[in-house]
Amino acid sequence: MKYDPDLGALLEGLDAPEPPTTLRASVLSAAGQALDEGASDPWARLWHRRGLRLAWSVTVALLLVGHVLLPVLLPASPAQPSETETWVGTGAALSRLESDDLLTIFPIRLNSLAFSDDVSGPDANRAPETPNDLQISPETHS
Amino acid sequence: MKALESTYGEALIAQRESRQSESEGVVWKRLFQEISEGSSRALAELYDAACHRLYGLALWRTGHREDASDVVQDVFVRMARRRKELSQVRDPRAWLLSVTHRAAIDLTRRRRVRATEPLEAAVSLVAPAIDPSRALDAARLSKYFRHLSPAQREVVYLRHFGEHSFREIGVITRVPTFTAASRYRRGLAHLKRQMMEESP
Repeated sequence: MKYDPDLGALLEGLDAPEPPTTLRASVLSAAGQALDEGASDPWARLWHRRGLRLAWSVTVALLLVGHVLLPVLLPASPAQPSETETWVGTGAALSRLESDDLLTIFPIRLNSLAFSDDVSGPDANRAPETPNDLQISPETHS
Repeated sequence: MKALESTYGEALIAQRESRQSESEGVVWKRLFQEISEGSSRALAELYDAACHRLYGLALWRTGHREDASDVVQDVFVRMARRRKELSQVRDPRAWLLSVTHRAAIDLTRRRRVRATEPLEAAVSLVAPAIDPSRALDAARLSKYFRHLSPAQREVVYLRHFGEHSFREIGVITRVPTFTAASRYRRGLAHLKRQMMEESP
C-alpha cells in the first residue's frame, strides 16, 4: 500500500519552537545601544568618544604642521614639462606627420578623372556608377 | 449545499485572516515609524510581536538554536542602526523577514566550519502544550526537515507557518516566484519520499 502523507494535516497544530527567554533582554540591550548610537550625530559621537577625539586632534595637528612646514622644507623648483605633456606633444606631432605622408602618397587629382569636361564620348554626360567608371584619362594625366 | 457552506466558511476564514494580517501590518508600520523616531519602547513592542516568527525562520534556515538567536539579535541591531530608513518601509513584515533571511545567510557563511560537523538535533517543530500526543509527530517531522536544504526548509516554513504566498516568499528570499514554488514542491517531495521509505 502506498503511503501518501498529507503534510498539511501533519503540520496542523504544530509550531516552531519559542525563542529562549533570555534572548529578549540581550536583543533589546544590543538594539537599544545601536539605537542610541544612531541617534547622536557624528560630531556628538566624535566628542563623546575618547579614541575618536584623540584621532581627530592628531589629524588636525598633523595637517597644520604639514601646512606650515612643507613650503619651508621643500623649495620651489622651476616648472618643467611633465612626462605626460611630452608624450601628448609627441603623439600630436606624429599624427600630423602621418596625415601629411598619406596625402603625398595618394594624391587625388580631381581634374584627371573621367567625368571632367575634357572627355568626350557617348558616356561623357553619364555620372559614374562603378569604380571602373572612374578611369584616368592618359591625355589629361600626362 | 454542504460544499457551498464549506466554500463560504473557507472564504470567511480567509477574509478574517487577511483582515488580521492587515491590522498586524498597520501595527508593525506604526512601530516602525516610532522606532525611526528613536523609541526604545516601540522596539520592545516589536520584539514581542515579531520575535517568534523571526526566530522560527532563522532556526529553520540555520538549523541551530544558537545561530537563530544570534540572527534575531543581528536583525534588531541592524534595524536600530538603519532606523532612519524604517519610516520609508512599505511592508514591515516582508522587510523584517527579508532582513532575517539575509542575516541567516551571512551567519551561515561566517560559520562555514560548522557545516562539516554533524547536524545538531535542533527541534524545528514543537507540539502544542494542550496536545502532548503530537510530540512524537513533532520529533519525527523535525528529523525529516533536517534533511532538506536550508532554502527548502525556509520556503516550507514561510508557506506553512507564515502563510505567505509564493510571490511574497520570492520577495522575502529574493528569488523569482517560480523558484520559490519549485523549492517548496521539491522540499515536500523529498519529505514524502523519506516518510514513505520509513513507513512499514
